[in-house]
Amino acid sequence: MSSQVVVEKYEQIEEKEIEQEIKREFIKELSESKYFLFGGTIFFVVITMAILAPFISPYDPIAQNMRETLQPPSAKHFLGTDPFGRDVLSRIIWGSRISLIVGIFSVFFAIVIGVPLGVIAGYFRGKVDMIISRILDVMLSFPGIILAIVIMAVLGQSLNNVILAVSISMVPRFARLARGQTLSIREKEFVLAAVSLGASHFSIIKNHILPNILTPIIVQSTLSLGSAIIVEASLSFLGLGVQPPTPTWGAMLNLGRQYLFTAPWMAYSAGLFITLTVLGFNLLGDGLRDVLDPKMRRT
Amino acid sequence: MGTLLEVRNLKTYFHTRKGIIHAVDDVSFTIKEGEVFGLVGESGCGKSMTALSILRLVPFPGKIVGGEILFRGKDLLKMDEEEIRKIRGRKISMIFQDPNTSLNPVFKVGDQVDEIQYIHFPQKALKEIKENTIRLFKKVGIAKARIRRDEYPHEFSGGMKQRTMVSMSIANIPDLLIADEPTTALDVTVQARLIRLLLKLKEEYNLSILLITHNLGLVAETCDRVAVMYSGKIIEESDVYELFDNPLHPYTKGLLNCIPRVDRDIDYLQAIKGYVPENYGGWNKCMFFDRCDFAFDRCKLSVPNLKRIRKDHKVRCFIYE
Repeated sequence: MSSQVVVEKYEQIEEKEIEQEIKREFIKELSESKYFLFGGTIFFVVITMAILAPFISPYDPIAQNMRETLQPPSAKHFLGTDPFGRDVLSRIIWGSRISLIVGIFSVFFAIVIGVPLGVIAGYFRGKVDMIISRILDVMLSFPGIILAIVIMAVLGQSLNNVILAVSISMVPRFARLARGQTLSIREKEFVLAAVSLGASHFSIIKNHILPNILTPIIVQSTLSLGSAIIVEASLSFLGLGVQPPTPTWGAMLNLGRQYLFTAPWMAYSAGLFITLTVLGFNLLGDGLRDVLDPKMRRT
Repeated sequence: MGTLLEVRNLKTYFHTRKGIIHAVDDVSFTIKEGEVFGLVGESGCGKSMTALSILRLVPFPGKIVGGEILFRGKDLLKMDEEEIRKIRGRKISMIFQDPNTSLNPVFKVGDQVDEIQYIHFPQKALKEIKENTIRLFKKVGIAKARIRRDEYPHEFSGGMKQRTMVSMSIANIPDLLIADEPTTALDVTVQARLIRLLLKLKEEYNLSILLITHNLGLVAETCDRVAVMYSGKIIEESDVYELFDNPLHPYTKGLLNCIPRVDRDIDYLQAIKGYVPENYGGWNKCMFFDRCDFAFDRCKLSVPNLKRIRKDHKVRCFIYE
């Protein structure tokens, strides 16, 4: 009897060790992925920048200083100043907040709307699928940015509407992805087995479909974060985004464009940050995909 | 023994571009309580579709177009979706061919067994369900049940996965267990053990089993009664001893001939020539005609009836009419 207990205890210890081993393996693989490390670093830096904006920005991002307009980069203004004498670095730092808020919330809402739509279409098929897919086709036939512009023009300009516009323009890609994945998962035998054992549609979707399509959706969401930021920047660039004086990278880029030859630092710094952030998020997504989805691993 | 399941004139058709395939073509049989009923036939003869029809799980573009399936006197085909869902896994449960694909890869096996119990008894305490799962694992012969319930399907061998499937299917103590080629994907040594397990559980819970297989050896070992299917129709139905001692239909005889015997010197393996024809538009002749050594003119002109030859022995062949 006591030896039995000892054996079971030993096995439990072994069990824990195996689990730790798997975790270690996972972390090791992540830390070996260059994409993930590079992307993750940028992601971390941008997030920190956004959160700590009030503490790390040297100046008030909207305070105008007419005595120091269009200053080139110097020790006082690290990235120079704009035509209103505002510190570009401070505006970049505060601008990351808008980019991230729009990016994260719009991807979140796109998932919340898109994934259920796609799962329902893929799971029930037939007429439901037909209707949802045709609506998605219509949405997909507009380039995302045009769709967003139309929505902004109709709804008016505010932060909430930017988030709404960007998320609506990204709904189709999540819905498509979820639909395709669901189609393949619902034909798996474990779904048939679950049905044959009396599982309801709801419990099959919740327990069997969703967990199995999660990985590609996570990857897609990091990739979409980058394009959401681009759409937001484009809207701001066109003057349809969050309105001045709130600092946004897109609006800074547009302002810098007018002074491209006399004061290039504005356009360059805004452009550089947009590029780096989007690149970082895309690499993060690539790295995550490599680790999470062994089937698609690069060789 | 009372009647548990009665299938009457079941017709399941597949509407394809090439025509309507009569996958299950006017099939009738009954399963008594505590009985093991074997359904035998080649691939594509409609035996799996018969099983899926019972639980109303026929895949698109298939459709049940006629007949009755009486389970304890109630017609399963007339039930609404909610009623049939309460039958599935509670009164009738099913084991599939390939255990490797029947378990969800992202969940612990124990949780999957818990889920089946929770679906039908949501009022039960989770702790009780978990304890029951461990009991079930022990019952189906999974050692170290308490630890192994927290493992994932990929950590289980094929036989273990099939045992897990068995434990899921008996979790709610059903009356009828449909086993659709439960041993096909397993090693021979594991097959025997799984079958022994099923028979043990049958005695313990007084289960009835509908065993679908193409393995006649398995039928001889386990079944009480057997029906042989061919191209969507039952062509012979009998007591298992009677079938093996005295097969009537040329097809059944051919199948039994195909089993190589240890005690005889053979140079080549016996086989029935040809394939099961696809049953487009139903039988208009004896569909075994092309492959039959005893065929005569009448066989290609009309369809034989399933005729009772002896007590509990029916055959569909003109030789006996």
